[in-house]
This record gives sequence, C-alpha cells and structure tokens, in this order.
Amino acid sequence: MESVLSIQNLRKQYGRITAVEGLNLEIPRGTIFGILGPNGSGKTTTLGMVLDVINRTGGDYLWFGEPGNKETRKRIGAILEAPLFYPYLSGYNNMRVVAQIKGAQLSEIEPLLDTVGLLERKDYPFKTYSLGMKQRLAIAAALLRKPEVLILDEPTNGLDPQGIVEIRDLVRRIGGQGVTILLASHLLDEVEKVCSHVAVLQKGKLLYSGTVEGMKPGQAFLILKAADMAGLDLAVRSLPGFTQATINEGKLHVIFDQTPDPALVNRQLQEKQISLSHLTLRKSTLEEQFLELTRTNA
Amino acid sequence: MIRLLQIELNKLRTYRAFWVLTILYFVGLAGTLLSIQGIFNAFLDENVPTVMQNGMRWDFYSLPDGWHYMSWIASLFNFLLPIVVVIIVSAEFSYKTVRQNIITGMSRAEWMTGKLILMAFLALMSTLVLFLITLLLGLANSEFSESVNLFSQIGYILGYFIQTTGYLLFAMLLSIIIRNTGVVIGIMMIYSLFLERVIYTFLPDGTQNFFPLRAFSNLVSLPFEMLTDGGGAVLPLQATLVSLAYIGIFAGIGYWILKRRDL
Repeated sequence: MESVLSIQNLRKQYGRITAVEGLNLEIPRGTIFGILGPNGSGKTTTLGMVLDVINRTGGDYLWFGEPGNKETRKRIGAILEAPLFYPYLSGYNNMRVVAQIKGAQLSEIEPLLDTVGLLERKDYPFKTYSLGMKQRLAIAAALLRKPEVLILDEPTNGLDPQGIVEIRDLVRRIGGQGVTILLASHLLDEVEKVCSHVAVLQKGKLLYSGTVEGMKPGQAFLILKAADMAGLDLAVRSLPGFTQATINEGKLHVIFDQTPDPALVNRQLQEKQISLSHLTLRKSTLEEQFLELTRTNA
Repeated sequence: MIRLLQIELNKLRTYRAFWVLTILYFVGLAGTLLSIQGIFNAFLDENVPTVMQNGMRWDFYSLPDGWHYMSWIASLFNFLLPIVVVIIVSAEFSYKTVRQNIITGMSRAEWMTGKLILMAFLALMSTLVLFLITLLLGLANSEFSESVNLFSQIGYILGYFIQTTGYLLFAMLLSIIIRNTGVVIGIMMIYSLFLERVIYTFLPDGTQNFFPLRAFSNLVSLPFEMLTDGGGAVLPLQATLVSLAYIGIFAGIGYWILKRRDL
C-alpha cells in the first residue's frame, strides 16, 4: 500500500535527553492511524518534526514520497496540542488567514464553519470561544483545501463527554471520506474506537506498529482462585495446552494456547482435588496489551 | 509579495492594541507636522523679545530646506512605531501562531519575508504622510524662482524611510530573540537612550557612526546648524551604507534564529 508519510530513523535530542529515538514508521494512505503513548513518549515531538516546527537531530521523512516542505504541508491539515489562533480575530477572520496561507478558496470557509457548528458564532472573537468551540474551529481550519492527511494531536483533551463524542463522530466521518487521519493520543479507548492502525510509542521508541486487530491477539485467558494457591499453580501447569500463569492481585491468570473451556478446566482441576472459589474467562483487552507492551519495555 | 502583505494585514484586522497605537502615531505625526510652524512661532513670541527674533525665525515649510526640517521633526516620533512592531511580533510567539503559520504551509523564510514587508509597509505609510504634508505645505509656502531647486533636498525623505525601516527591524529582531513585549520595550529603551551612547563614549571618535541607532539617526541629522555641536558632521552616504548594512544584518540574524529554533 502507498504511504502518505514515511519516517526513517527520525531522532530528536534535547541536550542529554532523547525525545525520539530512531523512529521508523510508514503511514498507509486511507487509514485512520493512531499514535499511542503516555504523555512524554514523543508523540508531539514526532509530529512537530514531520511538520517542520521542530528541528530534527537526525533521520528523514517523506510526505507523499518527497521531502517535506511548505507545499507538502499545504496538503495536510494539522492541529498540534492546542488550537492556535489569533485571539482578537473572529472565527471567520482566523479562517481567512489560514485559507490565504494554504491557498484555499474563501468560499470554503462558511460551509466548513457550518460543518463544525460554528457558523452562528463566526463573527465573535476567538478568545470568547469555549474549549470545545476552539477545538472545532481548529478542525474546520485543518479541513480547508480538502487535505489528504489530517493530523490530530490529543483532539479530545479537556473536552466534556458531549464534546468528545462530537469530535469522534467528526473524525470517523472525515476518515470515511478517504482522508488519511493521524491521531495521537494517550487514551487507548480513543484509538481503539476510531483507528484501524496503531503505533505504540514509549520514551521515544516504537514498541509496536500495525493493525489494531494485530495488537489484540484475541487470546482469552482464565482468572482462577482457590484456597490453596500454590497447589492451584502446580495443577494448572499440568493441564493440556498450558502456556503461562501469573499471579495478579491474588488471582491466577492462566493463558492456554487456545481459548480454554471453563467447564472443562473446572472439571480437570476438581479431579486434581482443587476446588475453585473464582473462575472467569477474560478476553485480553487493548488496554492490557498496551500496558503489557509499555511495562515490559519500561 | 502582495499575498504575504495581505496575510499580515489580515492578521491585524481587529487587533485593537495595534490600531489604537498606530492611529495615535499617525494623528500625532500629521498633527505635529501640520502645526509645527504655528507652535514654533508662538514659542518664539512668548519667550524671545521681538527685536531678537531675527535669524531665529525658521521657516519650516519653505522648500528645499523644508524636506530636511520636516523629516527631522517626523523622526522625533520614531519611537512609537517600533513599539507597535514589538507588540505584533511578540504576540506571534506568545500565542504560538507562528507555529501554526508554519504548520499551515508557510516556510520560515516566507514568514520572515511577510514581517519584513509589513515593516517596510508601515515605514512607507509614515514616509508618505511626511512626504505629502511637506510637499503641500512646501508648495504653499515657498518662493518660486529659477535659481532654486525646490526638490534639491528631497533625499531626506528617502533617509527618513530608511531610518524608520531600520528602527522597525531593530524592534523586530529584539522581539524575535526575546519574545516578551515588556522585556523587549525595556531593553529597547535602555539601549537607545543610554547604552549605545555609553559604549561609544569609550571608543575613538568617529566609530560612533558605525553603531546602528546612531547611524539611523545620522540619516536625518539635526537641521539647525546653530544648535549642533559642530563636530561629527556625517556624510549621508556613509550613514546610508551603514544603515542599509544593519537592516540586512538584522533581517539575516532574525531569519537565522527563526530557522534554528523549535517553534
């Protein structure tokens, strides 16, 4: 698949601190691509570098197959961190400045303000907008000149639940129109809900890159508890298909090579004189995968 | 060029601090230029006995000397526009709009060029006000004769334009480096009122003309010969070359800093 953005060995050093360490990433066209990582993992630094507002220490990146420049940036709509506008200018006048820089038609402004529900407030100064309105104005500005790629950095940060739902719906709607979306977030749930692909960053390093499905092995596991935990631990290890057992919050998490049948396991353990006081079948969630990935590399 | 100026002007469309100061500046400038003769005559009548007034009666508007007198008076107002520039440029950094400008699709070079064009535009507007008022009042108050070229000293208008542009670029460079309105205005005042003078007092005579603010001010020298200290007459050519060099250096350093900085 064709890549809209291709990052090779990208590095950023702030003095002795390495913010991004040899990052390699391909963003395929048409995907909703999540960049997932805790705060300070290098998400914004990476996006800042590929948008040329942060100078890279090393490495390369290509937008649409060519080195990034002002013309490639005009094909991208991006919001980094907070919406940045002239506070004393109205929503419309702010959009006009963006349109002029991008080379978009002024006639695009009003329909876009309508899309994000700001048409009625277009003549009010930006500084009078609520956080949700500022965020929506930023999205409208990013959509000027029909971008091929939309970059959103923590787009729901600080929004109320209503605002979060609105932004997510908007992202899905735009993504459905064939625009490639790059969404940076520290919220798993957000990435899981809207993204098709994901890259996981931790301390400036890439831990995983691929489909969201691929990150979820779909592997189910059992959570068990018995009076005799040592005996239980010993007993499960002799069960057919056993792969791994770990104690977690006083319960035993047991993974098998395929989805286990709780009734069968219960019967087998009874035969080994182990009476269970707790038995649950759990599917591994993305959150656990994410925590797992970031924990083992911490 | 036009596009970059349009963008810069659109950024300022409803910026109240900008408009208040700019309008104040132009009203003050035009008002003073239009009434300086009246103010000066009234001052003379009040403070100097009529018999002694001969020889002190400057005719501000009479061309060609009027070009010099009026340019010098206009240059006294050249502290206000730089403050406007400090406010505009510092705001781009404190609101981080410079960052969004780059993300949206400007290069750093374009951003810098846009600001330089805006500086030149403001200086041009100011020069235009000076030029038109001097021309109109000059034509009304000059004696026409074959032997006098009324436009012989019009070069001072160009000198005033370069001077104003220079001051604005100085303000812009400090704003790019420091990015804080209050601190920049403080440093600008300290440097222009004391620091530069203090530095060149310790240096050999003549070197002072190679300091930026002194060079800018030399472009439109004090016109009233009897008030000058007699020394340090400067060739306008030298002042022009030094000033243009500083304008280039200020723009270059500003761009260099912008290029290297993470926005």
